Amino acid sequence: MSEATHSHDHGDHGHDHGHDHDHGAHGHDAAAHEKHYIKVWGLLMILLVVSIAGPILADDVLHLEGLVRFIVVLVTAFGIAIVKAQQVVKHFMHLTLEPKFVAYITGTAVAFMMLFFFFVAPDVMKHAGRNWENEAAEDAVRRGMEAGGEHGAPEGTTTEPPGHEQPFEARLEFTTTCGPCHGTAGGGDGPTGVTLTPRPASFTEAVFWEQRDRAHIVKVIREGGPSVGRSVLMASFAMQFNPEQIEALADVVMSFRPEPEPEEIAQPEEPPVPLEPVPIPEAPSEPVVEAAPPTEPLTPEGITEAETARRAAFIAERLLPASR
Amino acid sequence: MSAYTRPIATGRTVTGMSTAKLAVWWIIVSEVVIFGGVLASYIMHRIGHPEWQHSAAHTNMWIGAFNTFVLLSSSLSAVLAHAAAERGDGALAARRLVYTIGGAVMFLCVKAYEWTTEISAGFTITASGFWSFYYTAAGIHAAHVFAGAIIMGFIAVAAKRNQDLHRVEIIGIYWHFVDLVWIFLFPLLYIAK
Repeated sequence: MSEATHSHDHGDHGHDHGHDHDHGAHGHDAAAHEKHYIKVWGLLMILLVVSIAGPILADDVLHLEGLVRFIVVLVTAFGIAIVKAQQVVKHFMHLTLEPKFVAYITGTAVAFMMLFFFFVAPDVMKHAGRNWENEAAEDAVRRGMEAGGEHGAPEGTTTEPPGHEQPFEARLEFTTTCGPCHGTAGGGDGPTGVTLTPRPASFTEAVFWEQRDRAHIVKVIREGGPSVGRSVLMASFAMQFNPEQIEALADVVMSFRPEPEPEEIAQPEEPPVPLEPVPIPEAPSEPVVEAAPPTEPLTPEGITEAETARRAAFIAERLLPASR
Repeated sequence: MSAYTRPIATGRTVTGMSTAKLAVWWIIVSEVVIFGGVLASYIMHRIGHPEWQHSAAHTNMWIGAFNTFVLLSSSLSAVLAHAAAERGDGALAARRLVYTIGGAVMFLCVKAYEWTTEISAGFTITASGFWSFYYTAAGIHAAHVFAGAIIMGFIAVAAKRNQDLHRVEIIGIYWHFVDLVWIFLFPLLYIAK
């Protein structure tokens, strides 16, 4: 490009080219410029074709896999992008013809971008380290991979709504949304819960279930604590979860219910563990539950290790398969 | 320039280049940080989230490739407009800028079609992390295309009257930068599957 662009001003003369006479005298220079630009465009087009053909060849023709495929895609798609960028910067933007400091300030911006990348990337790209673990990211990867797998081979033509790729996992949702207060095992002893007054309900105590049933739980999740005359600290989740999801969460809560004593069993009351929507009695159920004492002492009892293990096994057996 | 007062930036060259051009380079410097930040975040998340490949598989590479072709070609007409402006041919420069604007319009139409298809298939900005980045990065890029086309329209009108032909080069520099961003967006969003 050296001879083709030599007539570009190198600065000092200002840029009122409209009045430049020397350009008028060198008509062939202008023509050479234009030919040069078209040549650069031609090269860019060839590079574009290569950057598309590379990954297609790797995947559909040569059926490359693993590292070889990765390198081919990296070089053809991203290596060539850098070459294209360099062509545009040099021949279209004429960065090399500007005063040197222009390259320095743009270079500085690029350097800051790199700095940002290398400082932050370790935290974002890795999900665990010596003494830390990004559980949310790990969960996201796991859920995403499972959902992706369900759809078989990723193909560019499906029109399935992606919202269905991530199934609602009631147990997980309970842990992240309810767990902070009610405890991941439902004992009312979550890290935030222990600071609240009144303390959040413990679902693992028999006394809690004496005056409550599944419909009550659904109502509280949907409408919040005040709807049954309890604490405002229990928010309404009607905006966050749809009715089906609330039913599923109620199943999780029901699962914490301690096994009733044999003599207490009056009616078959095995909680429906699978996600079956149960018709919810709407307004009329209210007077019944109003009877709940306003400030029931929710003392967290000391739980033995055997008891914890029993509950964990119960949850694993009843819920984890059901929430898939 | 009768009643029209030229901005000071037009003629000053104390830095060794016209101040107007320097200003555009400064804009590009700040754009490097904006797009660089988004793209760097995208790259690190993409590497950390292998499940994004399932979302990325749904982008249409041929649409992206066509838009790359459109933008590269619009850059050609922008730089040809600069060449015309350099030899004082304002009318030709204006015509070539109009071609570039045509490229911008074409790009945005294709983009609108593409997004409509994707959104109606359920791939909204909240569908997954990938789609959030996809719409954010391509969205701010499209906003730049839109803004550039409008500014170019003003410059083309002036260039047709042989006014301020130096601006043809300056809008060109901006336009090539917008092209440049797309050169990187294309493989990142459409090819890496």
